[in-house]
Amino acid sequence: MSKKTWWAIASVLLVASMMLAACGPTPTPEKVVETVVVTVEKEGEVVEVVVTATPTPPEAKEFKSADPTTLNVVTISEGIDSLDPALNYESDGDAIILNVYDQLVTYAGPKATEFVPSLATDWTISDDGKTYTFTIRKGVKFHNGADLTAEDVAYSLQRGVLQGNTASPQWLFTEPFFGIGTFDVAELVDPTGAMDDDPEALKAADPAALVAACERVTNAIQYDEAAGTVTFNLALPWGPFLATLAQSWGSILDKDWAIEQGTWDGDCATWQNYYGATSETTPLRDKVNGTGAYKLESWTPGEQKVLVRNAEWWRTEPTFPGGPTQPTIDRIVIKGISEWGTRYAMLQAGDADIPAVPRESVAQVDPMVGEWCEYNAETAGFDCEIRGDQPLRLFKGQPAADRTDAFFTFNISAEGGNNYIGSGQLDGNGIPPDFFSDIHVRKAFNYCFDWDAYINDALAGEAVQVSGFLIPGMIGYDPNGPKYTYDPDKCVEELQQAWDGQVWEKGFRMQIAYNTGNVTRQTVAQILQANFAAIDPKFQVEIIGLPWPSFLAAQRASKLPIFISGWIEDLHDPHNWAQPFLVGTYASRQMLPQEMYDEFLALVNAGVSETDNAKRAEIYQQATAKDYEYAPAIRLAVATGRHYQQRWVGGYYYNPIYGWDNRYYTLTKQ
Amino acid sequence: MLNYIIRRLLMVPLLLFGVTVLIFAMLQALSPVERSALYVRDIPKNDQALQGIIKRYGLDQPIYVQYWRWLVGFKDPQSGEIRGGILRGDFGYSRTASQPVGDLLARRFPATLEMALLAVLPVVAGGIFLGVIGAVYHNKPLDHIVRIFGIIGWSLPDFVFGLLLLMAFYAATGWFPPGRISDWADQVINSPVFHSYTKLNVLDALLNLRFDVFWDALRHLVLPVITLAYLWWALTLRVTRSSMLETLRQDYIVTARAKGLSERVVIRKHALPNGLMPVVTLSGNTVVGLLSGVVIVETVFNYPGIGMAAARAAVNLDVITVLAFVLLNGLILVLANLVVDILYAYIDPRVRLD
Repeated sequence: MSKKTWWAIASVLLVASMMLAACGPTPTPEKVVETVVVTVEKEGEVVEVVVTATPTPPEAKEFKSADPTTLNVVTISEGIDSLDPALNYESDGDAIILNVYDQLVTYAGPKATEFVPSLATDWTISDDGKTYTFTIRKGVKFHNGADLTAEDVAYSLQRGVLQGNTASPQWLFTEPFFGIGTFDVAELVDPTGAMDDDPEALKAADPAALVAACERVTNAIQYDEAAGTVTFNLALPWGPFLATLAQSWGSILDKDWAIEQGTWDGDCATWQNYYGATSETTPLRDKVNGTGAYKLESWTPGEQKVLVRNAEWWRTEPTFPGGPTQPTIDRIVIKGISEWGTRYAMLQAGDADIPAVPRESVAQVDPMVGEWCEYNAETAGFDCEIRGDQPLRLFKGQPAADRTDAFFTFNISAEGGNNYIGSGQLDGNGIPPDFFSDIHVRKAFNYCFDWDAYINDALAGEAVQVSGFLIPGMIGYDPNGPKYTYDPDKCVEELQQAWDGQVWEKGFRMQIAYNTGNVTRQTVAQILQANFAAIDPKFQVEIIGLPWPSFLAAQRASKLPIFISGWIEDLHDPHNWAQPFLVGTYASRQMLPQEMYDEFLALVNAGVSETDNAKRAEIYQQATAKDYEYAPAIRLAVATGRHYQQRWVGGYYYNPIYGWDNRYYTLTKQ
Repeated sequence: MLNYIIRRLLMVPLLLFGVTVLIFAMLQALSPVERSALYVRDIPKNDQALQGIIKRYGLDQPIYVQYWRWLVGFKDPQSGEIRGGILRGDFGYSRTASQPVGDLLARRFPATLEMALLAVLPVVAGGIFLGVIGAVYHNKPLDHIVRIFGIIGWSLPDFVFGLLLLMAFYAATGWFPPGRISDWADQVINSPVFHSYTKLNVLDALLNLRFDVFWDALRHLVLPVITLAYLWWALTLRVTRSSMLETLRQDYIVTARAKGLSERVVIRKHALPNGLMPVVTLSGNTVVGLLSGVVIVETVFNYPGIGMAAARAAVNLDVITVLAFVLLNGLILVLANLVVDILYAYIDPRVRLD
């Protein structure tokens, strides 16, 4: 090549390197310790002393945004399923519903177990714990200007239950209203569940049975307009009932408006025509009329949501000491941006006030943090420290309300062949379908799991190992309760006893599957693989990555010897963990033995039907002890989350049940 | 020429029929349960209800019956409504976009079209210009620079180039933000006083005499258009350069020069028309490529076009949505090829006689 060509190449490389340099983190200014030499008189002598100036703490710099009237929230995706509060069962939709609708009660700010009045001014609970009576607040207006009535409250909750759909959160109401194990209103017509999610079958049912089912619902949820009260008659005392009402599915609609949109007309003779609405067919999919602090201006699926301030919001009392009573930010724009590079650029440009930062990218963002706030479990608040002038504030150590565990399948399905269990026999080349029915096998897997490695590798060191199936801070959770720890010697002991010594003699081979791209699940499998191989190569754990649909299908068909799965709580209540983990979704996939199931069921039912928190705590501690004794799973760790925001944003608090995108009305922007 | 155009136009329905058969064949790889998303928005979980849906929408019918229903729709025996029918614009329901696929396409396509239209002019004009420069100044410094420019464009991954631009011209300076429009401009566009005649924000803003909105829409397009244009420039200039080099070596060019014509006339009048023949074909492909190949660029710049929606549908195995995009791309390809063929025939009379 000629000299000129080389010059051209060099120029292009120079420009590229300059662009790359521009993308790097802003260098932190070097701290300079100032020293001065002063002359002092000491015992008649004049000497020179070197004095080091005391470093002054960084001054609290004032951070101001270009537009304090609009809060820009940038999330990973915009994936609202539906804005019908009776139907929505995912967090993206909740983030809107909880800001545009109100419920009868709400959480006391960051306290996940304390409730304060919202649309109800007060409430009473009968001595037997089965009747709740709420006094409805007067003077509250919906966004369309209509007044809130007791009838609106009763209609909203009746309509939700009657609309049904087993994929909706309504089972959280049907159980307390009609008894444990009732998951859908259609079961009031056909208790076998054959009509669940089948509107056509329901329409064809006996009209008298349909009316009777509806009347059970209207009897369970009654109102008295003259007294301004709504009464709930439960089938049994229900510990988490207030927590159930405080969530998005407890949102209150304007009855007349809802009927105008095409929802149930309030007549028991017609409810079956509205049963089984789905997230796409419900008339309230994209229509909103609540009493909340914000109004929905627009929702562009896949792109963004825009909320505008409700200047006539009713709240005059804060929900927690020092909390605000009215929203101050005019507009909230919530954008879904999947590409991290784009979100990072927006953060640098100051266009993202609250960005979603993936765990693997925190090292890239941390140099932009000038104020560090650590979660304080005792106060449910944050202890903050200013360390520099950088533009971001970081809240860390927030306990998450979800967890991933590794579950053992007690009776693995071998129907149609099952590669995950190799030969299907205990011959060193597979495992029998009931491999995990032996307690020593289950304990061996627990002792061979390294929690520290898991927390460091999969959760960036920001997590705590749990003791039992509950999560820290919850009624009945004992941080000092029994838990397994990584102990290779005990693992060997258990393996030697498993299957009368056959496991130790012959070894085993099995596959642990994870859905491709899920690093957490992959890491769990890798830890077990490495630790068993370290004991003896005849203990073979193979790891297989599957596309999500295949992984899910294998898990649901009970084909996986160990399935690694996560749970996000619906309610911050121990029942919401005990039910799925010990008797519900996961327990059924694990094919728990009947004896174990019965023991768990008795404790789960006792826990949920007890309203005294101290007694509930005792019951859940008993359940936790049983869980430790039977070791039906490897209970892993609860991650502690991070939340980044620009320092011109204030008013943030963390309630584990909501996550970070809770109530925008408390936020401020300079 | 007219005969040729008529012949080509008559081919279009046949080609489109072929495309629909191909897409429908792909659909058959899905189970009847998954195919029910063509007609119902939420697939029932109850087995009995599921069987009812399969029967009701004829998903167990002979394949030609299903094809016809997919193409033109059919009357729902229970509700009496017409369901399905891609010719009616009913492509089914997009699970990932939470809306009918037809609505998704109607909303997203103008955004992609706007970006592609703004990119195509600089791509073709700039690519041809640089290609001609490279050929005319063959093996001279200008040619080397053009070649290096082309090699970098051709070898630089679009997401890397896009992110570099984003960091330099947005994160550091705030000049050219991602997205399609700013929040305030979006409010203007959605207000009753603003008329969205074409759904192309730049054009609509001009037609409404809202120059502030025009500038806002334009500055959101600058970086994605540059990213797209640079990558396609590289291809256009390389094809133009090699084609022009070959043309400039032809005897008739030597003759033209021997006649004493100026170099400018030789290149413009004699070399360029012949040298650009392959570029015409390429330009057709460029339009198709710009419209269908914008997945990465739209994702990097958070530009809400069809590419981003298609990518999201693909990673979430939303096959109904993905196949609708494939169908749209097939349609664009057929129409673009029609235009290219007609242009080709116009430029080169020999084509018409084939």
